[in-house]
Amino acid sequence: MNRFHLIALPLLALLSLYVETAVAWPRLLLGAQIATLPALIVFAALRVSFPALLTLLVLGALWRDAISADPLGLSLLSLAAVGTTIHFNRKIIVADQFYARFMVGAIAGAVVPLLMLLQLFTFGHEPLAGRFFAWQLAVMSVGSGLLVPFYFRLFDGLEQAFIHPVAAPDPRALRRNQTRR
Amino acid sequence: MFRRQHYIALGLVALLALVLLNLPQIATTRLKLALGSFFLPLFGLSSASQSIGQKVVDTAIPRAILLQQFDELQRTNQQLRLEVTQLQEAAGENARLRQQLLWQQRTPWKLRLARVTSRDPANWWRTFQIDVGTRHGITNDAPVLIVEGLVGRVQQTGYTHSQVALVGDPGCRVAVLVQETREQGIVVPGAATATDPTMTDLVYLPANSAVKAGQNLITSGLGGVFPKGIAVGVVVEFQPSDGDLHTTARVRLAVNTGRLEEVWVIAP
Repeated sequence: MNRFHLIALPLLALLSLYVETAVAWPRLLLGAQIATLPALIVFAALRVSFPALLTLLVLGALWRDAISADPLGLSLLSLAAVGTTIHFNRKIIVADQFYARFMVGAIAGAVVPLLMLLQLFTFGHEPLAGRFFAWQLAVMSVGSGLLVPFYFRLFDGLEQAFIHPVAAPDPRALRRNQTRR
Repeated sequence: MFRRQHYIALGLVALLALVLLNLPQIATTRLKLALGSFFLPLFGLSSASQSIGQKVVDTAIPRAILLQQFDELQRTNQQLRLEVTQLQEAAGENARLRQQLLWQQRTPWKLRLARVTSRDPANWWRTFQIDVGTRHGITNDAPVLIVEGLVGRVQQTGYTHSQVALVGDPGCRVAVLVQETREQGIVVPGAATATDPTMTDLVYLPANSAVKAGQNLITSGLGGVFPKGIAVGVVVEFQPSDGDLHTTARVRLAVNTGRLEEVWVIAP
């Protein structure tokens, strides 16, 4: 299960980042591009093991910064802060409910860009973040909230297709071992 | 023990982020290019599928429409050839006069067609990637334009791809000239740029400026990045200053960068 997530999550991150940069209609229609990575991080934080989450965090953040004008490493801290906070508190999140998934995704979708902007201003950059950013933040938040349940459904299907339960040990072999002892 | 391992891992992630954020510019650029190369197969796939789609569309166009387009293109071609003849005469005269006045000769632009492959995922930058790089002779700061006007400048060059900062991005400020009044200023992102990417501000205009709405802006050639004479936009709003040293005008850019698919890059 772990190996599947270790491979599938970074691949999905790469693909969703590509879609984010190649599809222009959300920006033209809504005035903001929906960030796909925070939602994927939320999914991973709620579902997979810590090493798989960490792999996704590092690779996803570096790939995202590589195709953006943001400084390299900028999104790593904010994604790691959000991802690990959710992961360590996942026992208190009712992650099988649509509403809970949506809310956690929406909060992450708003917090991650805010933390990134905070870092940008701290490092002396001048990003385009005026009053209109409040609208963009709302779009990113709702988009991210909707993407989390989508990722859950997608991975339910993928896990069903690629992960098979470990076969139970043969009872005759077990009995043979017991008699030998 | 389990918790301790988590803390160590998180500490390493934080350390990695801090190291990356403090790397010198050249190392960051190289790392970005190396990491960005993971997307190249996807860009290639998209380009191939687009060209296949185009071929399918081309074969489906009726002959009558193609003939009509051919006639139109032939007419435009003849018109442009006449204009070129006229301009060649003017260019010859200009070259002779420059020689007589011992002015430096103007060098013609070497243009390279590029396809827009991806846009910046961050909402706070106005940049995109194009499919030409150092392999095609593109260098940093190379101007990017289309027939309608200036698009931006190359901000970062890779071997096969480059990042372009668009006019209206904080990384692309353009020295301009008001064509009618010859007043100079700088086009920078304005308060309305985030809402409408085609709206920018023209700053550092003289306090007694005679600029009016509807006047055209062209690159002034100052600063050495953009050659003189490329259309930038039109003044849409101007309010005279109340005793300030400089005044500001609102400008609508000539190019709507949101829908661009192909651009021209001026190679050195």
